[in-house]
Order: sequence, then structure tokens, then C-alpha cells
Amino acid sequence: MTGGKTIVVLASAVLANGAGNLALSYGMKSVGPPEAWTLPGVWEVVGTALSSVPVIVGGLLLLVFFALFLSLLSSVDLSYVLPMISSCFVVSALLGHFVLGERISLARWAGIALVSAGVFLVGRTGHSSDAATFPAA
Amino acid sequence: MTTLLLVGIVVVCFSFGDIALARGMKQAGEVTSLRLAVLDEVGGRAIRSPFVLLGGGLQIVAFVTYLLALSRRDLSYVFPLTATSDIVTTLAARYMLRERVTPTRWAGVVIVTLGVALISAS
Repeated sequence: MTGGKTIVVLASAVLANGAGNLALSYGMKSVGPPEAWTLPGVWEVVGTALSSVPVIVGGLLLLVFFALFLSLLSSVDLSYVLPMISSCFVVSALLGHFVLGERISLARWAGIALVSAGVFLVGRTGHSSDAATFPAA
Repeated sequence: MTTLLLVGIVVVCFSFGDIALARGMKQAGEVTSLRLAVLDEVGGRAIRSPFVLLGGGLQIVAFVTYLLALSRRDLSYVFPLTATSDIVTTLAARYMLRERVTPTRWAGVVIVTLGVALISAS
């Protein structure tokens, strides 16, 4: 995968993850918690959730995320992809704040800043170990 | 104590699951484009790869163990601990997949892990 293509697939994966979590969170809030934490109680919630459009869309988006993640692993270093994918936390937190109106504490803003700084650092390293220097085992 | 043991199982399964997925996908072949024909071909090899299946299985074990840990303690206690899996995975990627982890990449991984722990602990 070329550098440009890698960034596009990474960004799509992070966006699919953020939007998926947003849809799941929104959908599950309207489904509501189980009346009792018993098997029938939980089963009823699962049934309601599976007929909720936002929950289905959220689940599908997370499947898209997993497929894109596997596509990245087919050619890019795991030690590059993993920290880059952590920008999901930043995107999810920001979407929760701006779309769902969730409050973000000062400590959480600090965490968001740290993750962003770390992602920036990892982004500066090459995304694939040189195949010539490191032949496949 | 039991919660820490559960977290340990989550971290190990999650990290080695990712290692197995990465190894399997490198063998399945590069996803050169997102065209359906390419996805079908690589995807077909991927779901028959023992490494990809092992990786997927380990991720499922990790997820179930994670839910068990959550049933015992708060998310803000459990999640920051599981964030250490990124560091374990990076070590394993360095020694098992022979990836070149430069000091810059190490610094980035550690800072990201601290940030993720801070986000989920607060």
C-alpha cells in the first residue's frame, strides 16, 4: 500500500469506528437498559436492539471498520496501525461531545491531547518495515 | 486480584490475537485496492488462514473476558489497564513479526497509551 492510500484507509477506518460507536450509543440510549439483569431481561433488550435502525447501522459500520483494519494489516506494520487507530478515541470523544452533547472533563481533554500528540509522532515514522532489510520469516 | 488476572488474560489474548491477524493477513496477500474482486480474493484466503482464524478466536476470548472483568469492576478501572495491551503488542510485533520499531514510534505508542488511559480513567 502506498503512503497516501494507507492514510485514506486509516482515516476511513477511524471515521467508520467513530460513526459506528455514535450510532450504537444513540440507538442503545433509546432502547434503554434491561429491566432486570436476568437472561430473559437481557434477551428482550437484544431483541429490541436488533430491530433498531441506528443499532444495525452502528453494527455494520463496526464491521466495515474491522474489514478496513484487516486490509491495513495485509501490508502495513501492526506497530504502526495500532497506535494510529487510537485516534478513534479522540474522534469518538469529540463526536460524543459535539453531536450527543456529552460533557468532557479537563482530564479527558488532556488525554485527548496526549493521544493526538502520540498519533502525530507515530505518523512521522514509516508505515512499513523495509522488506529488503527484514525478509518475511 | 481476580480482576487483575482477568485483565491479564484480556491483554495477552488481545495482543497475540492482533499478532496472529497481522501475520495471517500478510500471508493472505496485500489488499491492493478496495474493488470487490480484490476483496473477494484476499478475503477468501483470509478466512481460510489458520493465523487469521486463531487471531479472530483470541479476540473473541479477549472480548468475553473483558465483559467478565467489567461485571466485577468499573469501566474506569478496567479499561485503562487493558490499554497496556498496545505496549505488549508493540513488543511482540518487534520480536515476533520483526517489525522495525524506531525510538520515535516507541515514544508515540507510550504517549498514546497514557492518553487512552487518561481518557478512560476520568
